Amino acid sequence: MKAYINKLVQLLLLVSFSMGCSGFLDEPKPTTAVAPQDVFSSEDGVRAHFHGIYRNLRRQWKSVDGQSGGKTDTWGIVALNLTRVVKGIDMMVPSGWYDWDYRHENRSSSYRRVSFVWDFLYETANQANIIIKGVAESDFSEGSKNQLTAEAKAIRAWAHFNLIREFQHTYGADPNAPGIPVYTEPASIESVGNARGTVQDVYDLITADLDFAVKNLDPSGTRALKSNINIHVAHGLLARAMLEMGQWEAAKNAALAARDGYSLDASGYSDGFNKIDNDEWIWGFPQRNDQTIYYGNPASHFDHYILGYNSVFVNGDFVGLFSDSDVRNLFVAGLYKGDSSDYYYYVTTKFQQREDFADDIVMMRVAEMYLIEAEAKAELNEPDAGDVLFELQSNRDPNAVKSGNTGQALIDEILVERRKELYGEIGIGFMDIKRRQQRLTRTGNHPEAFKFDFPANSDEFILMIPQSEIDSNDRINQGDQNP
Amino acid sequence: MKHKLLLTITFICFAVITSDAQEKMISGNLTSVEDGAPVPGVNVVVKGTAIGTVSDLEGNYSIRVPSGESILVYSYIGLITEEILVGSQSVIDLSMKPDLQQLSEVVVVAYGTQTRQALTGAVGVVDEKAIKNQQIISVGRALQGTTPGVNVIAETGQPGENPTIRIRGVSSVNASSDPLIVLDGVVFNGNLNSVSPGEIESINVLKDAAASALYGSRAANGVLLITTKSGTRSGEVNIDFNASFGISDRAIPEYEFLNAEEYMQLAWEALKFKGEDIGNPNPGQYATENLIDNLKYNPYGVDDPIDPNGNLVSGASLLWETDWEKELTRKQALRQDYSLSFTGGNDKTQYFVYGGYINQEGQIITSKFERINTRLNLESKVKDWLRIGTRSAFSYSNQNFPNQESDSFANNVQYIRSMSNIYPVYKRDEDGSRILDDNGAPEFDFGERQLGRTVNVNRPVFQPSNLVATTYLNDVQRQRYYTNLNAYADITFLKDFSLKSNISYELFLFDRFDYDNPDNGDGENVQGRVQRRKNITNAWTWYNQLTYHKSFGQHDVNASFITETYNYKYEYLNAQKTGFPFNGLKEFNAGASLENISGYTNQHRMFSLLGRASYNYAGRYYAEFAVRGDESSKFSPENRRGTFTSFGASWVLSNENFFAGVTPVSLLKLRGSYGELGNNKILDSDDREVYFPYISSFETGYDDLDNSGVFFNYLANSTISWEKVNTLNIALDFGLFGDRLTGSVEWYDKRTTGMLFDRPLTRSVGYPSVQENNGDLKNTGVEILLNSVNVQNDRFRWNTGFNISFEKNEIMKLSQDEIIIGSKRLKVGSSIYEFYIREWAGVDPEDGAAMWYMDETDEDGNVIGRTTTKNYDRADRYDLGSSLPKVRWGFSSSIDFAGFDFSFLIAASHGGKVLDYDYAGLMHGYSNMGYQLSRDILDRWQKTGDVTNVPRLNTSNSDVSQRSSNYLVDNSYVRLRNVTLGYTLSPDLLHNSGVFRSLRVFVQADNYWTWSNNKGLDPEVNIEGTTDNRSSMFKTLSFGLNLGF
Repeated sequence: MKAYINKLVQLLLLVSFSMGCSGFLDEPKPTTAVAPQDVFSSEDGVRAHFHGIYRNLRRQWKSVDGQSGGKTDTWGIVALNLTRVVKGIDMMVPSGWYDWDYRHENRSSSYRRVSFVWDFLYETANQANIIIKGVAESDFSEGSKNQLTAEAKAIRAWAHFNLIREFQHTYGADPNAPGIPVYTEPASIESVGNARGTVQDVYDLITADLDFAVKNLDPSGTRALKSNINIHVAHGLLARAMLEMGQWEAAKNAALAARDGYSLDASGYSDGFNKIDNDEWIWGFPQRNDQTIYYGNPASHFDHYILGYNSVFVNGDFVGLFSDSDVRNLFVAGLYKGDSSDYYYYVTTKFQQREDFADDIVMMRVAEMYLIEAEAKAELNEPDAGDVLFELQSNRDPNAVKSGNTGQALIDEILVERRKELYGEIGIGFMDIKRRQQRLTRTGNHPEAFKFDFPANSDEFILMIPQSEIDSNDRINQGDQNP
Repeated sequence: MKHKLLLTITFICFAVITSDAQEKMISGNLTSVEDGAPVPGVNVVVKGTAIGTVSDLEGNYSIRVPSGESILVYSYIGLITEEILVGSQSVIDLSMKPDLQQLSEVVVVAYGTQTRQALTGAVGVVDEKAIKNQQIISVGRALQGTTPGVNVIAETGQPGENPTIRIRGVSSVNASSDPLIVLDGVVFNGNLNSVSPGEIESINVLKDAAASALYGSRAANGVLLITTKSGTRSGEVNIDFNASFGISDRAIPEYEFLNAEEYMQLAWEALKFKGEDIGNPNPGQYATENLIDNLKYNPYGVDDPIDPNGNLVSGASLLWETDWEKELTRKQALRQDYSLSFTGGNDKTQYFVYGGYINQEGQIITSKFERINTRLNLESKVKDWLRIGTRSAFSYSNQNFPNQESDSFANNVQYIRSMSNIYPVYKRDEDGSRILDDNGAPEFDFGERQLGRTVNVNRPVFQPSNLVATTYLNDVQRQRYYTNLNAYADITFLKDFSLKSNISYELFLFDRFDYDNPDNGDGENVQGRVQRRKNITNAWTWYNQLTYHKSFGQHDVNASFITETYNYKYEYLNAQKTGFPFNGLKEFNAGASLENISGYTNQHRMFSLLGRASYNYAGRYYAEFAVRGDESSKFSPENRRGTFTSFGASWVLSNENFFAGVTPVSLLKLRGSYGELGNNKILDSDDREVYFPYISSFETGYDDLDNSGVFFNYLANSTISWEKVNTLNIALDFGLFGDRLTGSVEWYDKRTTGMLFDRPLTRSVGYPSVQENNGDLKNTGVEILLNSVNVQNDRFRWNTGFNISFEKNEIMKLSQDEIIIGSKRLKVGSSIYEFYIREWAGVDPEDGAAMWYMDETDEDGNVIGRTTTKNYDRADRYDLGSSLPKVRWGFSSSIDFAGFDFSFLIAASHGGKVLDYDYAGLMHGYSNMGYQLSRDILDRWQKTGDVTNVPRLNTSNSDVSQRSSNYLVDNSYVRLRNVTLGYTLSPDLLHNSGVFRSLRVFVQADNYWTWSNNKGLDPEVNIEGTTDNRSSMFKTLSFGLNLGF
């Protein structure tokens, strides 16, 4: 009996010891995450990362550490766009989400608007840098390396182009003004913060990245989804950057290249402006019922016929710019009664909410490329500038009459046409005021309290550097803060 | 009725007959063995019954015992308990021996038990009585005020939520600071709210390295050893039934809000200032005309209810005024608690069987917690050499958890603090009359826009929502199923050796069910939504413990060697569907389209070798050495091994010969320990455990339509490893006057090195932070515990207990000079929860603007003084105190007199600060038009020269509510945790009934009184000292019954 007990004890101890050396501890592996070496072992892996980046741009965004984002007015690309939309003179949101942006009361360093814009765009730039580095170190063919790098560089350029225009005045105002930190390496344990540099430094990166992109992206423009930046989108981004920098020739050429293969299609205006397969859309983000931002969608704010925030109204003076036969004249008066002096008198039906929230989000259209081309040509005094403009105008309004304007008058007409064509989309109206260094003057039925008249290059037009950046960056201190 | 009466009479007769047949009278005299003096107040009880008496002043007693087989138990504090078989004796005299320091008291420690005297480490004990005296759901609450060095914060009023527990300060910044929970000897992986206080024998708090070293890499934050009850060897069975019924309400009343009329008038004033600011020539008129357009609702029903002078127009009266707190909270939440247990056994087999049910409603409407517990603890000596046993439990709970934290629309608490009284619960038409539906019932108002209307629609606050409607119609259920099977065998072999093999298996299913109804609220646009989450935790631990124990002469040696294997697996599954058109049909089959489905598995494994050796000489010198080697799958193979050792020693001075003559001192013991512990619980920003902190990774699930997408979201540090905590503990235990006064004084110094720390990267590099083993932290403190028996005689017993802890937290080393995270700044020399915020400088009497301080600097940037600024962005930030309390204490007392028992417990905390964002939100001064305001806003600046702390009202986005010292308050408090008054029927009376062994009725009040400087804010906030619109603590008044059979 005793021997039996001792045997039992020995067996128990033996088995329990063996647990330590049987690979027991090596068995657990991550189940939902993949390691960098897996991503960069195949082009499909890198494509998956691109898909992830595009999805991240349009999700209910919040930073990895949850410190910024996470609110309806900080949900990724839509929030970036809508903020600009309401800061201009044509759209009005006296109350509801984005009202502080509409009232120009949302630029202080501790506000979530500011840290959202900063963190969202820098996070995107870092993801692009991860691809650029990962691809460089991969053993893909030279051709694939260049194509993948080109797409990543276009994303990086897009992020920086948005950052610099939010945190500083336009390039033309002062290329030597303080810029924003620029990084071309992915974040690592050793990363340290960079200084602001100059506006010129930032545009150098943007230009170089976009030049590389248009040279190396697949000329066919083939892509999985319209959310992906292909060669046409890259040309479009380059056209925007060149326009901002006043490089008219380059802007014109890029705009032409961008719309190659796309055509004007006014049907979107009667269709709720929420379908990515419209021929005009060069770049946009799709949504599906399981991949939406719900009430964060633009239509939730614009569309007054559905359950949503219904918070955006249209300024009467802007409504007055449209002829009756213009397909873009999608304004309804008196939905809430009142008269034309009430801010809630006009709403637009341009954006309509789909039942399952799966509205697609527009980022770049052919029409904008026509307008860039026209503006560049007007600046270059090319004689057909007015024709280019009229091509768009006549598509939108069968009764359109060519103005015959030239010179500054033509440019002014183009700028108005940009507001009319692109309102509510990515905030071109406000960004043009910055780009053209104009006054921001609100007229018409804006509520009295928000009938601003800001001078050109007003401090109100730039966000302050987030306090969190100053706190965490040794090379940016309180003295480097925007006024 | 007649039958009942008959039955009762028969019963009583039977009882009388039986007692007549066998009872006998025993009397005797009790003296002290030391001096022969009589000992009064000794409890004399017939074992296994409620029959008992107490010796008188001369030490005499007499007692009627049921039979000659009865055993009499003689007990008195400070004396050794004696048990005597009655047999044929009728007089039993005893000389009672002193039980110096009550040596025999056994304390549960890591992997075993020890006598109290042999302890070298710091162990706090919360016994059954302290637990029983509190109406709690989560046993963690029982630690508040009862054990020094333990900080317990409830955080939320949702019943069933566990409190935050911190033992001896906070030893980590980014790793978990929660203590390790060990249930019946095995690490617990369920939810603490699955355990019922009624099944617990004791909770022991292991505070220093010597006590917790055997839990090695998981013990750095201290260990809670929870031990469930066992059977007895008495040969009898005790059946206990407990029932209580209570009513609960908020312990601290809500912040006081403006009423509707004040709200309207002040809104007018704010708009008048706006008119002035934009240069309107007639600002009063401007305000009158714009008032309703800004608020959107008009509770007066007359146009422009406030005239251009700011007065209510004559004849206007309120058509409605909503008290949102009343609408969304319960004033009388009910509580029911029942349990039934069987405790019994004999020399061979012992058992404890328990069943319990509890149901507690919460503060927020529909909030509730309901739990069923069952347990079987069984042990049997099946062979001379083999004891086997099992401890098994099953628990089910169902919690309805309406949102009461966070900044979601759906947060009821935030809703109450956001919706001003001017917004109605039910729809109103343009004139303010109620809108009725086809059935004539009022319709809930979601504040939506409505075409053709501008008044009493389009609410600026939380549009579209109505929590009164959706909280009732939606479900937020959390069901938890917890099974714990613990089986062991104890083999005695050779001489002096034994081997215990214990295997424990846990299965924990967390089932979360969220339903958004299709008619109103979030589910409206998608025709209803169901989200279901099922998380399964599977864990097993197998340990084998080889023990050697030998005594020779004055020497006593004990050694253990243990192997332990641990496997933890957590499976997460989440699915979400929309399209549930039929209100009430909530299963996935009834849903049309899939909105989300996701899942993952987490796994953690450990293999450990442990050893412990202890030695004691003559009951005077004790020494103990413990070591644990852990290997964990959380770290890379190169870094996964860790060894944790500790050493403890004690010297019982009072057992030395030179102490023999010092009569008032019954115990004097000096003890000390030093050792190292680890912490491997790395958390991400959402406080979720990280299982592979050493692998950088891309997260899956970032799909773009059908294209699988990944996103880089974890930047790893491949060298990451355990955080280590070294603790030095020195203590003095003492007993005076025959242990009438006992206590201890402890001092500790706890150092965290290689702190697991999120070092922030510069925001613009695009990734927020990396984890490092960098930085040192020090927690030091003193804990004093005093227990006294003030009066003890045959009729009256009065005990008191007092404990106090002083704590200090200090950062010793950091990877960089300073790190600012939100409202806190980490800096060498200050605490980890040091507020670093702008300092409020009051209101300028000239213009009513808020001011903050800023430094004045000379040309070289040196600070030469400070001045005020009205620009928040330019104001400087200062260190303004820590959220950690400096002193915490608890005081308890109990009195037993003539069958009555009275007891209370007070818990208090001093010196911690809270940044009250919730209050700041209520002081927005109309920058959030339509949002609720505190009554304090009435002190606002109104005209030049006004001296006040509340700025001029302002409808623009202002910095008034931004973080500043204006909202930083001292969070000291004293809380009467409970008062109990009970009455126990005399044993004689009960005995005669023959049915009951004991019967006690009681009334109890929990949290009925709180002293605090702050109104509206419950002092039990959170450890970081920030508020987040959480529901607050309850006070409960309950009545109950304890019945023994």
